[in-house]
Amino acid sequence: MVTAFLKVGVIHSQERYTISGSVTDEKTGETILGANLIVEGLNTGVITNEYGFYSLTLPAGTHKIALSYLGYQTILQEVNLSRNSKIDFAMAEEVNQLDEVVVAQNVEKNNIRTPQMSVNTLTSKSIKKIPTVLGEPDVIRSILLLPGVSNAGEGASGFNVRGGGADQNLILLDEAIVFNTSHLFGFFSVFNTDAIKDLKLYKGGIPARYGGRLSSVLDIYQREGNKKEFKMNGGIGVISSKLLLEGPIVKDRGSFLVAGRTSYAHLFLQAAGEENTASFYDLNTKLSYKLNDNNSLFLSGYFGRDNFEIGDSFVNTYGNSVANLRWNHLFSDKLFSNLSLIYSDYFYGLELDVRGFEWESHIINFNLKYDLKHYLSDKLTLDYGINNIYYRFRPGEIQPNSENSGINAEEFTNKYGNEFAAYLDIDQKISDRLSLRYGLRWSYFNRLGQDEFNVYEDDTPLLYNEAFQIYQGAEPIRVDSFDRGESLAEFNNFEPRLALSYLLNDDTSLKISYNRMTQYLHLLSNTNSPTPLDVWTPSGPYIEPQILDQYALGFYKDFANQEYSLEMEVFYKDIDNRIDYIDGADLIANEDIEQVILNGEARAYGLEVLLRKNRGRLNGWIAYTLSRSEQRTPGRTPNEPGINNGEWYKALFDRPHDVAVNASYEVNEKWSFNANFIYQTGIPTNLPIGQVEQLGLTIPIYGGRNESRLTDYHRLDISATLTPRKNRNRRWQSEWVFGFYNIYNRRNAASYSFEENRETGQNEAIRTSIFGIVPAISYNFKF
Amino acid sequence: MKKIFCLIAIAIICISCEDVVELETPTGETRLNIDAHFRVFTGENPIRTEGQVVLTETVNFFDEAIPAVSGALVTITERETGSTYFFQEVQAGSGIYQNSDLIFLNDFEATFELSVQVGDQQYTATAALMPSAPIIDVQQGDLEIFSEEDLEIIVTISDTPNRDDFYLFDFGFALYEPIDDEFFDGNNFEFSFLYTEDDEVDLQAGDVITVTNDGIDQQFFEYMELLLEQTQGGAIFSSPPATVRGNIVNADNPDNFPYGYFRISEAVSREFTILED
Repeated sequence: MVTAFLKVGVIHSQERYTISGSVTDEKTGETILGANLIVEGLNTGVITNEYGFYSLTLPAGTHKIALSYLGYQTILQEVNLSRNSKIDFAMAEEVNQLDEVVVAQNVEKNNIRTPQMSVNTLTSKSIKKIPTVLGEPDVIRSILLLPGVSNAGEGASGFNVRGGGADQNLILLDEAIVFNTSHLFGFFSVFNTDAIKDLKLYKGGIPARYGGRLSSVLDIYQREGNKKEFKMNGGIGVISSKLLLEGPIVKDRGSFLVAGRTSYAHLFLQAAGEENTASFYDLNTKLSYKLNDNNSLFLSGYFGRDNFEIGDSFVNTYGNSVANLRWNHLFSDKLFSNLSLIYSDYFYGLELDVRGFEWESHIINFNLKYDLKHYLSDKLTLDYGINNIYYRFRPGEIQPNSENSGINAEEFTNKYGNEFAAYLDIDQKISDRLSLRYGLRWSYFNRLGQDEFNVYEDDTPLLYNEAFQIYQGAEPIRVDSFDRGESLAEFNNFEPRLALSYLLNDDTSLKISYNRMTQYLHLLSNTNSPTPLDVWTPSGPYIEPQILDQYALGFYKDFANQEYSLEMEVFYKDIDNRIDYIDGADLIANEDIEQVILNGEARAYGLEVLLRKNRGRLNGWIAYTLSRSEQRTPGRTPNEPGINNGEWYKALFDRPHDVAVNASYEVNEKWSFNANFIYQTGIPTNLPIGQVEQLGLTIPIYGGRNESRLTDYHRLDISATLTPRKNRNRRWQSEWVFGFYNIYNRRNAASYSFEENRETGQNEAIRTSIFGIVPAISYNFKF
Repeated sequence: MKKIFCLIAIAIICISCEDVVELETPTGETRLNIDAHFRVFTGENPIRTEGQVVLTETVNFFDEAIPAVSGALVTITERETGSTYFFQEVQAGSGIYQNSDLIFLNDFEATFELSVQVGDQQYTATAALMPSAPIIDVQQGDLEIFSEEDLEIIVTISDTPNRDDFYLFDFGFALYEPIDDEFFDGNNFEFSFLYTEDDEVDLQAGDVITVTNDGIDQQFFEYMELLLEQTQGGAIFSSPPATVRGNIVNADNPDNFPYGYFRISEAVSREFTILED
């Protein structure tokens, strides 16, 4: 197939030459990804890749090249092409003139010409502008302002894209998979915005190079560090502080970056005699080194831990460790390659003195990726590569925490799996108006042998007790043992991807896309949001891989001289093998998870509108999403009810209306203001349909699943940034950020609970709400 | 294990805020609720028994009165011998049905069938006497998790080896703790229970509490876990609440199922006098 297209590329070659090179920031030497290089008059161009590299093949002669990137001055350069040339560009940041503030919009405009749709980009700079709770800029909270993205509310980690589960997001930090993104149970995410260059969120039309999750890809790139000079920056906030050091190892060739964050609220709490504390810290590191023009090495690492203690009786620790070595190699000026070797370990530990035990669990994976980008001609680009991930799941090990403990040590059976994928994506410009990207990903999952494997009669781990009308786990008839080399189950899937864009005129385009995705890992969680305690389990003999088909159609328009832009998309998606849990399933430390699972399906559809003002003192966006997300889990036979009697029920992340407004206003050089407003339909929930009294307890009884809702969610956040005038012309730069989260102090319901008040004997509905108004102040500096 | 979850939920609650709100809740179909719990204290001399059958109807969650179901025919039959024991309503309109001599329940080999007839509907369930385990020690501890009002009681039991045991601990005041021996089979096992401020028990030094260990089966263990989760309110992390179905069926008309449970436990109890803090 590759050679077939190679020929297409060569057919109309008169005299053509390739320019290639990298694009960097003039001041820091950091590579710039997503910079747009356009050849005037030829209606052709290229975008720098994740490593700042570009390659473009053009007819011989003189060309005018325009290189642009948000927040940077556009470079206009004439290039006389008479042979293959290497041209590196260094871009300078836009400087604000005192009375003429020109602010570039901070969500990158969806490129009207490329087939890629349903993607949003945020730079670290823009994330930092968005007001947040307690003043710490946050990646996950920022993307919640984008259309089609919601979450389970405050104090919930993770996010839901287009009605998909939080476990269906592929979250990559420098190409490494991150399993848990939360600090402090979801109040912060694990990404340190100082160490991040930018991020891309794919909600649909996902390219073939990504796979393994159904709903979205959140691709985050860390900065490499300043290649020119030593720099330091930091910030002091209400509950946490951070510091970042960066600089050259060898000027212009190698750089390092070390960034750390730590919370210290717990220190005050301890000093005040409080025994219950929560804290976190994390460390991002990166080394980059350019061996020569064709080879670069990157070593990056992340280490983070959360610690939560209740006196001495309960200690909970969790966090990610990720190490990643990458090698960029240019085979030619048209063929770019990246090899990544990634190790990641997600750890969760618990010590519970009240019960006398310690519990430890891990998800370990080794990930090898080899990605190539082949710039065949200005009309044809290929992406191809392979990916292999070896997983080891250690669901838990329980140990007595002292000699007096009555607990017997026990290790849950480790599970193993291997996921391999190969892909090819073809980006083809058919005409000036029509561009196509089509590709195929082949994924193969092998659930490897494990020490103890439950075998059930008729392979049925879950039985339906017709007399009691309840589901019950079956007793295994025997427990088999398998070698690691043996295979318990194998799955093969072909995942076609297609995207098309048609330019109606220079400012307007239409796009359509289709993507099929397969997910071999399942998050076991029957609560609204992932918690650190949640356990992942691989597909196998009792759990099928989840498979998604998504169709999307979009309309994009720039108007008023590109000051405004409008994006509208509709999507429909359909998921097979979405598991749900029988009523009352206990998923915690449950080794026989197959005994509480039913197989079902899910679907979601909706409309997203994003209207942006891209320039001027006042800029920002309004995002509106109208959508529906549902799930159905029928019984396996006509006698079984399944869940909700086999009827469709609202998924927990169903939010029919979701509005997000973000606005920023630059008053002058000293002051700027930012505001967010969010409105969402309430989260589906269950209200009791009656009560009974048993064993002296008042017990609410419930009907079908998710038939009611919490009250609607809304809040307004504002922040002001003060940049002192004396900053100018001095090395020490600083700013103050003042903010209010939820300024009108709305009590948004996070949940209702229904219980008898033991004092009065009355039944009550109790609303739990997380944040009222939260003021914040932070001081940031750099020198 | 659910407790662990609750503890984590506290982390969130620490900074959150709870208030009572006015809500309207729907009312489902009216159903019968059968509360049939029996205990046999086999270690006492003479052997003591307790238990009754209470029949009520479901009502809206915010209704203050729960209507009793009178005039039912309530019996327990021992399957092997066919002996039937009749239960009388203690007072007309009370919905409480008793039998003065329950000693027939003291038989680990027997299977007992409960039958409740209300109008033309017949509800049935079966149960067997489930073994308990001795409480070998009760102590008072000083652990405080939720507030300074917390009172820690440390209970030690002696588990029987090589048997899957399930227990329901009763600390009085309708406070229960289901425990299974999965991780301590055959050992002496010590665990803590907290009386908290929310329990509104207000125990003082000198007050006597009774800790009772009921032997139960796995199905009732799971039922109780679910039941307690629902009465303790839907915390942020808890699973979606659902209808809690017991072991009582309406064979002729499965759609008209009742709520409630029929079980018989071997029970062991121990008293403890609360000490000064």
